Amino acid sequence: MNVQLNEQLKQLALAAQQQPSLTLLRQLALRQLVNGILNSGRLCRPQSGQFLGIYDDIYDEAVQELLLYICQNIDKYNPERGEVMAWVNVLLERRFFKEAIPKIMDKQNMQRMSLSDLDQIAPPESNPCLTDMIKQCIELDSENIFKNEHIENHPRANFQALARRRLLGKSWKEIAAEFDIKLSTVSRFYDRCLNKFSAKIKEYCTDI
Amino acid sequence: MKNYSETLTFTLPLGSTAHAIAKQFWTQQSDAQKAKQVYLNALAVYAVNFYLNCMGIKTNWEASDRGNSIRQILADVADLEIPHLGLLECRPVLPKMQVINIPPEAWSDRIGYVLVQLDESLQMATLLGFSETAGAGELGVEQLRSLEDLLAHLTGKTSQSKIHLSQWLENIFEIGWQSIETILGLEQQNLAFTLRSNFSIKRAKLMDLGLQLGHRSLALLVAITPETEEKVGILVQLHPMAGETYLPPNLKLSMLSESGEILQEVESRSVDNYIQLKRFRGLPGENFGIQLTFGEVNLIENFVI
Repeated sequence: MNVQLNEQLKQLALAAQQQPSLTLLRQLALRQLVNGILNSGRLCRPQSGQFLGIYDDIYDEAVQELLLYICQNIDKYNPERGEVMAWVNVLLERRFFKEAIPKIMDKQNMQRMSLSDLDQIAPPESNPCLTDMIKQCIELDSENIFKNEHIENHPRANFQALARRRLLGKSWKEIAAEFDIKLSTVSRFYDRCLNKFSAKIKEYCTDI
Repeated sequence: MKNYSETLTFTLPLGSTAHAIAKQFWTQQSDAQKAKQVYLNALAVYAVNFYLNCMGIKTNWEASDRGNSIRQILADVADLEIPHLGLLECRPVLPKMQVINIPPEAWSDRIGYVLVQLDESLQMATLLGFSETAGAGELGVEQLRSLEDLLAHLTGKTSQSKIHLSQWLENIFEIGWQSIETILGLEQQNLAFTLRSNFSIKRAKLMDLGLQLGHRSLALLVAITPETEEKVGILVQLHPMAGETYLPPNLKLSMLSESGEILQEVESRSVDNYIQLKRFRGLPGENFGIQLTFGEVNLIENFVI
């Protein structure tokens, strides 16, 4: 029922406006408002019939920006001027849809992938690809930093050895078993090494 | 008619920008399986970042980007950095999945985990909820806490950590520290303000003194300005909330040294519009605390310049 929806949305908008920002009550109201707007079935579809093949790409981009704007500018809604959906639709039609058009049109390769696309398509080969560069960097270990960083009392369980195995696709279970170290210990050590070394590795890869 | 007060999730469309970013990471992988995981991880992180932005919480997302391609090739991680708090892990949930495996490299050093459901088309993302820990490496969709719990968790962690005043000079503010207009309302600006205009940055935070004050809040104002020789000048005031003219009496505002000693203190009398500490200054790296005491309630905010 339209009247109920309008009333619900209005209450949520007012609730959000009445709380200072960054309070839980305001955030709760905003979350419910966004859900309400998306599920209302009353979001307009500006210029529908045009932009064949890319309409949804433009539309989803526009709606995303619109929702962010609503959350950050809810105080601009004036309940005396009209319903929430009216305010939202004017914004969508007059501003956000229009702003989204050049974003999609001007760029090639803005095609969104689906789950089945991801299952069927492999990334194009690039030469050299980042993975190979990282492998190289780790193997080279010119400063010996990767070999020297190891789990206490386990010099064989060093970052270079672990990274090699991860790059080969070994599971943590296998790696933990091989070194006879608790799985959580070895994976936590690895995560910390990543934080420590990723800048260095990136440097290597950018310098090539 | 759906009752929106019962839905606990947050849904957003994933537009082309989100996918373009995911694709950037995807193309850097050589293994198709890994590439798929990386794409989904990127969408999950994007969705959580979007949600936090909607809720007014800043993230270091662009910064996380930079080291991430490397980390993504070497591990299965999908984290989002929240300034001063740490990493939030954002895991994708595929349609019909009820239990998600958290990769071991993400079991520790995380402030929490958010599960993001993606539909088959990957054009809609739904934040399902959050968990503070990775469980035993598995999180069930049914066990998640609400998104509001996530926000409370982040805000709670902020109170425990220090406020970095030098970052204020770069307009980076911690959760809860807002502009004066936001906390006190526009009308209040003209009233009891004697914050000298030569303080370049002013922020305020709501302090809840709980039951003692009938849950009324006070506004703690901190204003800073760069001074000569790299010092930072600091002014601290305590104001009643919008709508109130006077502070309750016997409210103590004190400045504490790093070791907790009281360096200066001021107490409200019966008709004070506000109280303030004497202006002080310090060098970047120095620590101090500001304490509010009322009856048995003691609130402390820790700062580092």
